[in-house]
Amino acid sequence: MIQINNLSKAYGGHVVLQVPELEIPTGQSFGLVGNNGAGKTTLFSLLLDLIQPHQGEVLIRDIKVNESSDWKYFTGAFLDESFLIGFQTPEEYFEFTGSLFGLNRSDVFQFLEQFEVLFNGEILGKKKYIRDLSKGNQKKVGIAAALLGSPDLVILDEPFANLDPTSQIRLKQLIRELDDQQTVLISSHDLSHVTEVCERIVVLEKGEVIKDIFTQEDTLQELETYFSV
Amino acid sequence: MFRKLLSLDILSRVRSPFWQKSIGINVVLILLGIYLMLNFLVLGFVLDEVILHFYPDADPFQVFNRFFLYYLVYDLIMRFFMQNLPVTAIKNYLLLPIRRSKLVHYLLVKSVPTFFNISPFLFLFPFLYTTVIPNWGVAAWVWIALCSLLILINHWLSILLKRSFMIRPLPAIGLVVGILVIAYFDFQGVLPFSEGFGSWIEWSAQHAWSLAIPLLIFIALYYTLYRLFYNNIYLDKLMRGEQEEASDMRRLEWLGRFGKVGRLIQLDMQLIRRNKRPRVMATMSIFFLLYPLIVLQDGLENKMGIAVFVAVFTTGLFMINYGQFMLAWESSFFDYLRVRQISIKEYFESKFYLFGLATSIALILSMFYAFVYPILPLFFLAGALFNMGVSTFILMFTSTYNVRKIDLGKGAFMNWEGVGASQFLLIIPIMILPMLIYWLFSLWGGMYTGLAAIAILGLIGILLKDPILNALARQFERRKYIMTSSFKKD
Repeated sequence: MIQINNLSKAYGGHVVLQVPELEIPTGQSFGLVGNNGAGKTTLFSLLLDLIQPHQGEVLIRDIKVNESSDWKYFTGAFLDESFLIGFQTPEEYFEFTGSLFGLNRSDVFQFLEQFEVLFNGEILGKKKYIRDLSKGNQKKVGIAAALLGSPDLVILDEPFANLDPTSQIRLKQLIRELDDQQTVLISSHDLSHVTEVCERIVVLEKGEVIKDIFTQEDTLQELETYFSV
Repeated sequence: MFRKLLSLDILSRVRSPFWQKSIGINVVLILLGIYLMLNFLVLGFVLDEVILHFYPDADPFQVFNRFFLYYLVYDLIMRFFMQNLPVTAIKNYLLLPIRRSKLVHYLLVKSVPTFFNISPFLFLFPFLYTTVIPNWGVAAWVWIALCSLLILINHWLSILLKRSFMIRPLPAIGLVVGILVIAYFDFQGVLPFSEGFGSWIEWSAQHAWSLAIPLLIFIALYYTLYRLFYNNIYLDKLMRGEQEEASDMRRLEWLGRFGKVGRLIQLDMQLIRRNKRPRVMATMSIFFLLYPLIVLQDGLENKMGIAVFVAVFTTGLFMINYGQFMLAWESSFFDYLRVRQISIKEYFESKFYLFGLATSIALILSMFYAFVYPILPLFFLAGALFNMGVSTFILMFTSTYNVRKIDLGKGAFMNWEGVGASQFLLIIPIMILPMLIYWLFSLWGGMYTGLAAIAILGLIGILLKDPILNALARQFERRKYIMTSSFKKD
């Protein structure tokens, strides 16, 4: 699905990300962990062509992301609030996003039924703009919109942060229930959440890939040992 | 404690990114401020002569006092719309061990040194010096004290009104209507309200003890405000009024039938309707339809060049006003636009139709000018075509140089957010170009040729829409990373 070649990003001569090679096959659930400033969001922003690489390239389905927009038609992402349209109600936002996938109103709301537990009655039908929702509820809206239209590639930055325990558990279920053909990329500070939902975990430190492991029973322990300095 | 809070406030201003980054705009603003102040000062020194010019037989002091009431009413209205008590500024201190009463006093006292409270003295003092002191002696000092008190009363009154307007709009509207009715009767001479006010000021200036009346009002108002804020200094109450119930805009669903472009226009409508600054801009555009009446009140003779300017300006005002901040309006959800399946060509195309629609509406409404100047609709038609086919694309091109983000939550008055070099530069081609073309072609073939030249240029632009939009999309590709990263900065 994703092929990264010789990718690097630098700000003012200071290299913040350096990934010589990384391949993420179709259908994999991929977890990205690392401390603050490790380059997780930078990597995701590069995948989504939001920032310009210093060197190297990102290919999604063998197409360079900065040369063609084809990847946008099968990608859903939520990194931060700038993916939300604050002056829309959640319904309008979902409808608008759904319409970009060619979904009509009823398709959209049928799809959203699986989010009932996650939304906890606080999102839909409240006559509130997204800008007036709490941070946690805004995040729920963003995540649901990223999954809308069942895109082949889903990218979520810190999806578990700011969520209450019930929502975290439900979100993990939702991610596990995704289609086998859907590729999911998740970054998180929470090691146990990532090990629970991801088949593969990559550890970033100071912009470089330090570990690349397939999740096994002792993975959580391995990660905890690594991070406890 | 007071001094510490004040020094923190000054620090927050000096270190605000807006102040530090946009030096150019700040220089312009400061120059504008100095210019206004000089105006007031000069006005103060020549005021007595101005009054004598209009009322040769009257005493300037008496006339001034009479009109001071109008000034106060005007001042109150201006304050009401433009002055804001920065209640959120003390938000950060609520948890700190500072007495609540001290915070409220700080909040209130800090609000006093503003443009509205300083500027009147720029003409009051010169007037005092040239006219009042020579004739009235000691009473002059009572007079200036009285005027100061009245201005400060206005200050507290505007805060109180604004506060009650937020909670209960009806009585406040009633008050405004009441003022207007009284002003009307006063102008008609039925109720000599301002005259009474003038003679009261004069009488009061001669009886120093009477200062006690405004002083008592002043204290009463201050105390009322103090109690009001003392009791409401909680996070949820301070923030009151910022949340509104979502408006239902289901009526615009039909736009969805026009595909992605229609959806994007619908999004624009929501943006305009639900955010103060674009909403005010759109409303202003309607008022500016009256602009030709002001400029062309002496008739059209020998003013054909001006008429071209007026036509372009009137039919394109919404486009210019709203379009100059294209892409910056979307700065708060720019990543969404960049990552979702909306191509920049579709984005620009939606704006092309939105501006076309707005221009057409302005064109239809301005057809009424045919009753005043039968020839004017031809100018409007040419101007509208030029706007649709040329100005639109100029705006789109300059919009790719917008790098300042706009916080949609903020108001419109004196809001310089998002203003950069591109806003100043684009005025030149949009305003000067049509006049220049008209001038060249009318020299050669008269008025109709000049108008036709503008219109044909616009038509060519409309016909070449697709290749132009493709070129603009390539331009955006060159600028996209710069815009994405700078919209994230404060």
